[in-house]
Amino acid sequence: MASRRDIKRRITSVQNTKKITKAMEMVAAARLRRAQQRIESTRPYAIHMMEFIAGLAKYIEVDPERFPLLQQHDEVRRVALMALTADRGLCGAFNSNIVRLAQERMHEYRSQGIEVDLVVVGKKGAGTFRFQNYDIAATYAGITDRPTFLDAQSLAYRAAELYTGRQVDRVVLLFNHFVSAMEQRVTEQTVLPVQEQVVETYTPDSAAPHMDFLFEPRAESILNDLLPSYVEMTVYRALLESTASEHGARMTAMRNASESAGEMIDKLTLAMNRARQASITQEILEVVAGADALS
Amino acid sequence: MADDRHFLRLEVVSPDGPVFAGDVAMVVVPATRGELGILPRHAPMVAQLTIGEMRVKTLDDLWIRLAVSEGFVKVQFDKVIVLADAAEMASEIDVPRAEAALERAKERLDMLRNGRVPEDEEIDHYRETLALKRAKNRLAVVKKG
Repeated sequence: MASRRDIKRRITSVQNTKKITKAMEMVAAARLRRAQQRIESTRPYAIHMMEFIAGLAKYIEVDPERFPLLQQHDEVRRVALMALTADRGLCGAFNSNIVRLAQERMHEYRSQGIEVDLVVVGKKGAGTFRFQNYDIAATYAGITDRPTFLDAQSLAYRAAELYTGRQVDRVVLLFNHFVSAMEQRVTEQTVLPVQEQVVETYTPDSAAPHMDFLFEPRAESILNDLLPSYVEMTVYRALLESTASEHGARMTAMRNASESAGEMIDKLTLAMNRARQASITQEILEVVAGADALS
Repeated sequence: MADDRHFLRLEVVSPDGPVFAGDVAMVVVPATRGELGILPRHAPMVAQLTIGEMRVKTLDDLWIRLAVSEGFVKVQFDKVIVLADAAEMASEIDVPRAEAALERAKERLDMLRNGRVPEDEEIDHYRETLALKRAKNRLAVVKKG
């Protein structure tokens, strides 16, 4: 049995660990709140943008042939997978879920004879893939902590460039969709080609069909510019969702860690008391035995 | 005229949230082919915006200026919606921050041009060019005021 001093030392160490996990939990909770607010504040922009696109689509014949981002490629030979992970760990299965899904998809595509370009956002994912000797087309670090629209724009621009240049025939985003602090859903979303239902289904009440709009410059060129913006927005939302999920996952992981630390402290305290009691009993026995021997 | 509406409802929205919302007398936006003034009872219109300065005349005849990046504007039923990649009120622009952003973007573009990118960093040309343009625009808008 461990001595009292050993147990005491362990208790102190677990207590210190608990302090750290508790602090991390609180930081994650604060960041989660901010991240959720940021998701919320993108909503007006996203809604207006959908209205713009849907409104425009009414005025012009949307011929996918003329919009490279809408155009389906006849044959899918190469797919770009964009996996959104975090720069930091200690957030439960957050990173490994994405890595696992990405690996599954890669094997699926490969078995169909489709090549895969892997784009990884976040140091953790990049590190894992590199360690496992996967070919990585591009990595982005330092943006997941506080993603800006600029970051989303550069990612979207890269994706659009690959797609219109026919280097890839589809761009898929893999990210953690934020449901709650306890739950993050691993989501797969096709970003390019822009899914046609985006243009077709969303019809706002205010888009009266009889209104004659002036377009400055032409409707087509406006739509041509709106589509990339739509892609940017999709990527931006995914980045924000992923950040919120990361903080949520970390909060939950750290709460669990704090709880187990508490349990461990209880157990160790019990063991320490037992050891103390045992040593007292031992001492009494020794004293009594000594007294007996003298008489 | 019987129409008694003499103001526009303006909403300026960026991906980070609403920037401005309110009733105004006139809106001037930087469209791709020059500035575009919008007065009440303007015909329905959708226009593409370029990076630049947007001016808003309030109902008290004051001018409010904003720095906006690429985006779109929609006018319909006296409602003006401006969607911009980035938008800030001139009065809220943080000059030291904009200057720092400008320097940083310049520095990073220089690194890229001279091939002196540090090992552990990745620099995206597109991102830095956009950042540079935006910082320049912000400063230009502030300095005009």
